[in-house]
Amino acid sequence: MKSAVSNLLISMGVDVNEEEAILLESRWEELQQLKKDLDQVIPNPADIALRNVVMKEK
Amino acid sequence: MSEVWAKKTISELAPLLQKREISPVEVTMSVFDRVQKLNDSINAYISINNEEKVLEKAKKAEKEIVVGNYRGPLHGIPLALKDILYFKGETVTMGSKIHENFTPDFDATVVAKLKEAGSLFTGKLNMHEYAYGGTTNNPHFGPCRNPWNIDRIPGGSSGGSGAAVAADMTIASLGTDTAGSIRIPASICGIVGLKPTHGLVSKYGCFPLSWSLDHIGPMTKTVQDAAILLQAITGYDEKDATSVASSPANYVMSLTGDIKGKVIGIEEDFFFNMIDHEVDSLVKKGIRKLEDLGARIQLVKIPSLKFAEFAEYMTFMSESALIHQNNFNQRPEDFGEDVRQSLRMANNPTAIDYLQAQQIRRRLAKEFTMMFEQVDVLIAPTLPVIASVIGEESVFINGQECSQTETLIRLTSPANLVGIPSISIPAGFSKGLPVGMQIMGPAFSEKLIMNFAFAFEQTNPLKGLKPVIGELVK
Repeated sequence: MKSAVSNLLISMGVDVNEEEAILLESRWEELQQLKKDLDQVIPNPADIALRNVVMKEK
Repeated sequence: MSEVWAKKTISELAPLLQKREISPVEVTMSVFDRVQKLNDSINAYISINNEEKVLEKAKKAEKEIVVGNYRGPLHGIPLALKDILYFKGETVTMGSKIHENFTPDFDATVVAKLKEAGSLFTGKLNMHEYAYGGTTNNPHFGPCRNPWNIDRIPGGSSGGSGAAVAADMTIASLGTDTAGSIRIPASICGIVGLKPTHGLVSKYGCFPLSWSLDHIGPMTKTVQDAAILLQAITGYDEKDATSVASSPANYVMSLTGDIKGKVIGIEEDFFFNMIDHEVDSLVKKGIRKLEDLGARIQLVKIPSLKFAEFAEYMTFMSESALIHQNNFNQRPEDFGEDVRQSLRMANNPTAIDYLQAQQIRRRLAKEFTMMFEQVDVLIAPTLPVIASVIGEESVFINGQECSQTETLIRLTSPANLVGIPSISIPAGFSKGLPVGMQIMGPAFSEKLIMNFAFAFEQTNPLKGLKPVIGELVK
């Protein structure tokens, strides 16, 4: 069965063989592990701090 | 022709040039001689400029100086820059096959400023393809090699700049830094590398890797040279959306070496965790020297650093995926294997991953701001390790195998996430290879961190040692 990572790449037209798929999936899992516990410490959506307001230049 | 001038610094050469005791022609010929002798071994240059044409410009600089039109400390100084900065009408490759024939029709702002300051250019320097890695093991132009041991990496992505400065193949250079790409090669090659505050130096005309993390900065033999170069390249640029208005500063004059009463922050949980024992020991010895000079130590905490790696990866993967989208879809085979693999991975972060990464950056910025209310600077190792052997994908830290890429950027990338300035300065040797110490400060505190670096530099941490030239010639 293809992984989510491979399926995404295939949907973009990128060839991914079985060996590469395993490597990509494993690396992606490692990256996702880096944010474990994140939900407990970042509750504030305002931390994204985007501003898209038209301002008059001073 | 003597190579003696190539071994000098900007601050040593500038007064001699101004007083007409030497000519820019002599200095430039000296650098070219050095490049001809060493480039087969080091491979620091991707392209070497036509010597006759550069010498013509050197003669022109000489005439200007003779008639009294001396422009300043960079007038008549030959430099070579990372091959990612645009030069009008010249090939700029980004270390890639895809851009092997790319010729921009304008100068990068930093290039224009250096031309205006009277600098000359001997060529363009090797780098990790598209700055997308830390080894400069370039598949298209060959691996760049570390002058201290040519079997080892010079670091990256500005590896050519690090190697060329260390081997006196240029008087000084500029690099770019998205996760540590100035400071990593500076540390590994035993030179000074400064990543300035985000927005202080214009990135217009620099091919991007990740716009919210990218920086341009000096890579030099001394702190004073870093100050001279920084002074020449700063300033607001309306052509760069991330550029910040800042007051002109005299960075050179601020180098007094006086750090009495200043407070050094030490964060142990992240910056001194999983560090090679010898590297750890050298950096702590360096901090003690700064204490001897009158600074004091305070332990600090930055809790969100545990998410820094995630934020760095998600940000640069997402932004770089967009930048390379067309080429990745249309001609993936033209990327080197490691960059192609990285770009495959770079397509995976979701919008949520990217936005969470920006939340982490915001939180980190708050924590760094609070920390800098207690201390003046934060000091850490630049890297957890010394230079690894070219081609190795893993490194060993005190016997434990770790991913090379993650190890290389682990301690440098937090300064990119929060945009603060950070300077890497040589702190000594481990197993015959240089070790770097990183000094970080609040945004726009370049004067302060360079003064700390200058004070430390006066303790002669490298004991005046240079790479052994005889071992470098093939």
